[in-house]
Amino acid sequence: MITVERLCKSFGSLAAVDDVSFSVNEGEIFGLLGPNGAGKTTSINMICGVLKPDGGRVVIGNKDIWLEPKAVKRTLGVVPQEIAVYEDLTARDNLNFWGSLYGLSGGDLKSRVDESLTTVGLTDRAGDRVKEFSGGMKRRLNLCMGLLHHPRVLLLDEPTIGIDPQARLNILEVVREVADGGTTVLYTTHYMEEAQELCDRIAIMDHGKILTVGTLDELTRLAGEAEVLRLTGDFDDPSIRDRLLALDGVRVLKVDDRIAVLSVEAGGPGLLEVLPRVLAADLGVEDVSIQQPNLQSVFISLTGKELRD
Amino acid sequence: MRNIVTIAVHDLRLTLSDRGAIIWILLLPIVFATFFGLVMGAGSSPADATASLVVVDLDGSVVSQSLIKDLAGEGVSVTELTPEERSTNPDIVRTLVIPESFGEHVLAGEQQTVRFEKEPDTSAEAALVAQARVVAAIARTIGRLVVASADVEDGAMIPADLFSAVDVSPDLVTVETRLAGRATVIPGGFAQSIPGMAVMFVMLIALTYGAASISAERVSGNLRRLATAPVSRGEIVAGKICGRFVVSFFQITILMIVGLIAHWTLGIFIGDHPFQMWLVLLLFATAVAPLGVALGGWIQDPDRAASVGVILTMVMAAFGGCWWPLEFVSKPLKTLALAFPSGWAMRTLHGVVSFGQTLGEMRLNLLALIVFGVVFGILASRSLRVD
Repeated sequence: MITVERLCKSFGSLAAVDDVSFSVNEGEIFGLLGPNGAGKTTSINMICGVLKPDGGRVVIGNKDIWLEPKAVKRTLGVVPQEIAVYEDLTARDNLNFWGSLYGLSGGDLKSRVDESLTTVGLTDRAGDRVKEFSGGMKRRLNLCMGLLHHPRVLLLDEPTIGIDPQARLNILEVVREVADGGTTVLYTTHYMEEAQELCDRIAIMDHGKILTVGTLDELTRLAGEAEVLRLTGDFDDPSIRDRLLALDGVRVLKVDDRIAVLSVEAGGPGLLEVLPRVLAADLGVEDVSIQQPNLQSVFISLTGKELRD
Repeated sequence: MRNIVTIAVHDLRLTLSDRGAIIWILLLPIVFATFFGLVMGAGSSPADATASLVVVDLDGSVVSQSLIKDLAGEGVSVTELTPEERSTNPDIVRTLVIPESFGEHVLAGEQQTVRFEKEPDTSAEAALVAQARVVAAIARTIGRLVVASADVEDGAMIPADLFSAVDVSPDLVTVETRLAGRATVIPGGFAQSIPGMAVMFVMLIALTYGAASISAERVSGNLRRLATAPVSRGEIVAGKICGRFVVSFFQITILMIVGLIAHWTLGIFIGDHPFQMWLVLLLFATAVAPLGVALGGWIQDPDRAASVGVILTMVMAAFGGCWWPLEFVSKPLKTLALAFPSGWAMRTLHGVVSFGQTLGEMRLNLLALIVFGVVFGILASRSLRVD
């Protein structure tokens, strides 16, 4: 449904998006996971036809967005990272305006507005000015505006930033419902948990490049299906790092002054053997936590840093 | 086209959702026009043929009374006062003083001088009109003297009762007075303040609210979101320009309706062609609407955009002749005014309001406004980035 081929965009000497390619199947929820500054928003802006790429192309439903922008944009719903709503207008006025731009009018517009407000749970506040809304309600309206015209493809750029867990759950639930209805979803986030819970496939992105693409299972296999040991202590002494690297059966994913992340190598001695060795190595470990392989460990194994860095 | 209209109507709704905007769009222009109209000498047309005059008749003879009667016959609104009443009344602006024994000397064939006094800082034009009426009235009196003198011997004094009995119809001597040329009159009062304040506030709303709202839409991400909808960039630019124009259309139309009501109920002078005045203001709005969009495109911060809009408005209002008549300023300043759309608008409005010119006669001015609109439109289309 969405094909992104060799997309590039530079701002001066900074390559914000560097040769990015991926495709999203119809009805799929595809996640673009990466830290802030990875190039997710720049990619989304090029995919939705706002930002002209330096190279590459974007095909949505067999049409190139830069060759047939209006035709493609009619099928797109975009939920930007910023809460792009008119705060002095009511929720209903906001939706009426955006609906009109997508060719809706009269009774059709009204029923779509009512339906969308119901979907995001804002029916009771439809006549209130948006500036009186909480952050979570604004986020829901922001989402609602992207859903109003029943798009075939929904692009969501970090739609849960800055809201409480309950509001986040509501938004994820709506996205899931929309995808269940057959809409193709491209979802960018820097929250690993969201990508894990929501997405059928995930592309991990950093420094403008796609590092890997796959299902959650495929990606975690990349980390060697191994547990991850997260050690807390004083690791600023270079000799400690050397001793860490010398340990058998583990791979050092990351070390900084306070945190060391090790993965237990698959096919090796196993966690029960490795853990006592680590603790006996006199590394000054203050705390140990064991994590099952997840996107965090995948990201660390790919980049040597944690997703939140 | 549908998208352009949708964006334009949306902009009007956004502007009207701000109560502060209503004050700036409608209330303040009326308040300022009224204030400046009164300060600059409210009331009648600059070409008004009726002049008021206080007459202090120190003579009280049949001749002086005949002169006063003739003044009234010339359309002068005469108020007779004693010297004491004259000196204690501070509101008097023009006075004709007829000296003692005026009639006696005139009937004796001796030259006499009447004194016309004008207070400083009062309308020179109205004084000129009154002065012309005095000359015309004196001419009528001289006509009567000529007729009466025919019945007395050469060099003899004309009897007062003989002068009173003279009935000259038609008058032997008449002086016709009329304002010559068009640009000799400087518009004052409401003839200046209504066009001036209308132009200034149309510009103020277009440049401040226009620039700030575009800038705010970019900051909030609404412009970028607009670009994700099936709307071309050209439609967005055109919609935003039309949006500013629709706001100005609303503003100008309401102000004109208020002006017409004030004209019908209070006699406020708005010229003889309010419809043409409305058209000129709409054309001016068309010229400045894209400038507001261009400013909003250039300036990232909404507050700064509004500040620059205010400064630009004040400069263009001052040099364009919104605050004082362009007819009043030096030639270099008159020329400088043509660098601004406000200058062309004020020239055109003065032509319509004060000098009775038609829009056809001022087609060059209208063309200049169109050129400004096109240039600003190009600037707006270049400056308004949606990414």
